[in-house]
Amino acid sequence: MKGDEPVDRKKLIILLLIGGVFLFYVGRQYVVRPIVAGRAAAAKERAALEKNIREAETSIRLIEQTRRNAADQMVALARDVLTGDYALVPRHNNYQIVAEEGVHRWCEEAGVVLTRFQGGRPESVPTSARRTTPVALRAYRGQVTIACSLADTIRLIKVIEDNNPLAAISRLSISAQPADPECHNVSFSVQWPTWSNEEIEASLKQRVRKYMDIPEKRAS
Amino acid sequence: MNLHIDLMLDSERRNAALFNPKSIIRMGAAVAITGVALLIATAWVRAGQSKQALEVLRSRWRTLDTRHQQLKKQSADTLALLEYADEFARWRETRYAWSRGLAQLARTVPEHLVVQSFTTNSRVLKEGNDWCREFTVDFGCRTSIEGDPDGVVKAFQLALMALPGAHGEPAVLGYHPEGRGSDGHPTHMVFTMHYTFRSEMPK
Repeated sequence: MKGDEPVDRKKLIILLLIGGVFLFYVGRQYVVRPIVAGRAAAAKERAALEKNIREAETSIRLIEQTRRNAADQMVALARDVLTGDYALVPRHNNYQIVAEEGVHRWCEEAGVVLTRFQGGRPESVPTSARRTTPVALRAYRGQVTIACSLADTIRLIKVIEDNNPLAAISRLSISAQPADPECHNVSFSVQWPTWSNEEIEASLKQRVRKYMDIPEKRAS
Repeated sequence: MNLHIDLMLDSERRNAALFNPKSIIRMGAAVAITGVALLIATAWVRAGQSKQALEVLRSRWRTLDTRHQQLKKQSADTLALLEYADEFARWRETRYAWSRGLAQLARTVPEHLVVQSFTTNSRVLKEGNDWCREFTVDFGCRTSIEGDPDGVVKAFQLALMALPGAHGEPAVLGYHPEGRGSDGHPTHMVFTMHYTFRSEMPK
């Protein structure tokens, strides 16, 4: 038998060893290595993806919670911004004429005669230094003078409070008239918010409508 | 002389030993090759599964990332709108319901006391984490000298102190007699009641 010859057997073993080493090298280099490298890369990518997904889920939860928490504030903002009469909008840059018309309407509703209305100028209001958005509002103050009873005064103030939840009354002064004890001289300041500028008004209204999913008003 | 005749061909020869080394080598080689093939196949299958799982993760991430980016944009908008909401809320908070407050103050005025004037002023205060508005009210008062003017003043003071938000004891300023009756004596006492109260800002 040829293979049984010691020399042939040695050759066969050497050949097998060389073949084995070659196969091992080829297998390692072109089969095992790519598979191992692929799995390592996949594991790395998987870990990164899982981390990103966890972070994104946490962030989404926080954002959604913020949105839920902000819901009431947004409803109030939408009401304040989109209700036309709350902020005083000047007519041809004249604030007094619009404010006086409003005061006349309130007095009429309360059954009180307006003696005098004196308007001022829009003023800046103190604001937080940390805010990132431009200030939306300024204040316009007007001095209302009437002559009426205390009950009428209370009624007029109630009409103002009910009609405009943003109008604030300050510097209230009542003094009796000796000649007519039922009729007092009353004066008080009314402060309206007014838009800083038209761009802010338009942009804020649009953003609030978009946020609250309120359709744009179409001009008829 | 022994004659040994071998008529078998090489191909017909069989090893008489229990374990044929050739067969063992062949079997070993076959087992090794099968084993390696199995290992490689398993690795391929697992790599495929891993790839599939990765694809599922990628797809989930793509969906989540799109939603996250949208929400982040909306969140920036929410924060900006919240600043405006705060600005408007501050307007509301600086208001005081004077229709109710005035009616409440009017009810505290005792009999035999005439309030001739009423003036108010206010300022915003911070106490700890809470904001409040402090009002000062000056009542210009007159009461008849007959009867018990001191008692009337005291009653007015107590009534004001009993109101919610009253801060400190109302101060009586400039308490003095005034007027001249037919007998030449003063007819009434005049004074200013300086009253301070605090109203909590709505949260």
